[in-house]
Amino acid sequence: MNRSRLAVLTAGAVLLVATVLVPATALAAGSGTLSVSPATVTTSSGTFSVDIASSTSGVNASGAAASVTFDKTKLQIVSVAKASGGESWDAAGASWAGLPNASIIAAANAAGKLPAVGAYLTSGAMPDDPPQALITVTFLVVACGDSTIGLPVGPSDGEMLDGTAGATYGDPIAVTSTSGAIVNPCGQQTPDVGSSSANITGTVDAGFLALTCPPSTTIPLVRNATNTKDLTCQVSTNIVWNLNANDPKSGPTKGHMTDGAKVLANPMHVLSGPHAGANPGDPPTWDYDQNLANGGIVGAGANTTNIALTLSQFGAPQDPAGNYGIQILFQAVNGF
Amino acid sequence: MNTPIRRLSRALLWGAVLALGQGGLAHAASPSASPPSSPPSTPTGNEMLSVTPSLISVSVKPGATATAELTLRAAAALDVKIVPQGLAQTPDGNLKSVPQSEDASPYSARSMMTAAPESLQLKPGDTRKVTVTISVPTGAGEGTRYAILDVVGLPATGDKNVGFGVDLGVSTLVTVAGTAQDRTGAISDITIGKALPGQPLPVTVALTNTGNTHYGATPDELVATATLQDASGNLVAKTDATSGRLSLVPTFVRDLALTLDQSKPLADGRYHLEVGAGLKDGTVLDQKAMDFQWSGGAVLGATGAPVQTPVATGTSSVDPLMLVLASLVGGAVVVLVFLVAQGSLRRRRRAPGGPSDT
Repeated sequence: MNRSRLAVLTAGAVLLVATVLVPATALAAGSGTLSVSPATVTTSSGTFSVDIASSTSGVNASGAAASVTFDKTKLQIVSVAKASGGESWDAAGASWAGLPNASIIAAANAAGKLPAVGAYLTSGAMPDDPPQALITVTFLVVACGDSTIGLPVGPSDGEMLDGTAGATYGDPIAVTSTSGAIVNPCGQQTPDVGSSSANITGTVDAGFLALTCPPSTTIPLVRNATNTKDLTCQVSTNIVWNLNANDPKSGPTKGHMTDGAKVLANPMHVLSGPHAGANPGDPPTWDYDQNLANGGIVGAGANTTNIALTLSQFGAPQDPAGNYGIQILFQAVNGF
Repeated sequence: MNTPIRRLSRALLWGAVLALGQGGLAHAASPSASPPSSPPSTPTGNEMLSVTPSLISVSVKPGATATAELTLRAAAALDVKIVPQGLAQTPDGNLKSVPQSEDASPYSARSMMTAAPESLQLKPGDTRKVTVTISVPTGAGEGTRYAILDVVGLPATGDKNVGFGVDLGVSTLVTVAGTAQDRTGAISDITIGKALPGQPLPVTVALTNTGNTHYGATPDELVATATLQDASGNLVAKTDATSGRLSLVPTFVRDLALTLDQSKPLADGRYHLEVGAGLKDGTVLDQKAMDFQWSGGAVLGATGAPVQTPVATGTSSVDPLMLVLASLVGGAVVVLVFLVAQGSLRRRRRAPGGPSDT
């Protein structure tokens, strides 16, 4: 059997199982409830967050999944995250399925429904009390008016799995849900100037951006030599980004290592993207070579990426002895 | 099957059900973006400093105020400052923040923004909210305004000689509600590079956004086209290229790189180059032409020239999405033909006296 045919059959088998076998499985004893916490949110603008939580009666759970419906004309999802804290599926070390990326959130905002996000254990179970937080959903208020955050129940929506050790482990249990209420009277809309002219229709992109670099490092300083030091920064995001390097100082010492009034003659460079020289013995070339006297881009890409960087500092013969230092600011920016 | 394996397979199956359910929705919404493994949608908490969301986009009428909330999270002890800055764009499309002294754009939103708190200290594991207030003045004018909110985290450097700070630039787009959003552009420069005999001719088209709002990001990317004719008017080479992913912000310039791959080495002589810039949806932003003298693998001299032919943009290039759709339709037709043929074969086999009955 060739590989493509095998792939088709495998995909078909999974779909078959997903659509036929799972719904046909008998429900285990006990029951579960999915709920929105807090149950009522009073707001007029900006963002707010709710937790989707699971609880059980007569049984412990080994899995919980929830899809979320909302009035897309009044609310838009900003982000969806694993709920954190002591009484949560994440804290219990659950595996996750369906955590949405930006495009899924965008589609959810267009549809008014977030597809199911689930957490499950492969051994053990969650306690039945108190409710276990599953996900935290942050909404942006885009229009006034009361609305409901719903938790539909059923295959591919709200489901819970039995956590009782033995033959029923992992079997579905009966699930009910309680919706959340969003109270947003139209008379109290928006902190605007001149209410008759106010029209704030906001979308706050669901992306995130993070940057991790070492807090500091030591570069050797040897005269008549190009001194280098390697480091790695990580840009964490779910969309396109670019990374800039800059010395926050201004004036003639910008980009230079200093020791009080003493200044190294040559500025520091930040390099990334090395390529071997054209001929043996040739120095490498770089995708980016930023003189910190000016600063600029040292990397670009999409999604989470580790970036290997090299600091380069030439020690000139005339540089006086001293304890030189510099601070470098790495700036990550998401594109749009 | 023993119990642990059954547990695991049930759990994995359940995960697959959920993943399949979302995959369908994601593809329906964004057929061109389908990485097999989705990037995480939230920070893990292990990052030195994170911010959610990473981009603020609001539509506000003149005289009104909007607010947005950012969530900062740190895995290190940091002194954090939050500073509204100007947004600048380099010719390769990348973004950076610039201080007030360098923020010359008339489309700046820097002065419209404030953050509260403006500074804070974070300990490892801390999560803090920052409220961003955007006040659009009554005389804001038309179009969109831009800024970057710098979230700068500085750790203690200890006794080492190079300290690093992290700066998360939150791009901020403020659409002045109820005003015209003009997407116009002008080719401000055409650069012809050097080429060795037989090598493609590099051409760079500099496009300036002369409108009052950004454009050019996926899926409606910037498109550049070029045609090269010899002195007799014969077509020597033709090309187009898209420059996706990043928008072009008003007043800034994007360098669009083209490669004219002529079928034979460019002989010394006079040539006519026509370039166009537009959007993938067919919008033509600008066209320019130049005559130049080619000698020894480089341009000796060039002069502006009238455009001779309309330059098509998006519609002339093959849309990859259309290719995918065409192949899907084609595939469906093949399957349909196969099924019909198979059904026909079955009927023939079942016919009395057919080969399958023997």
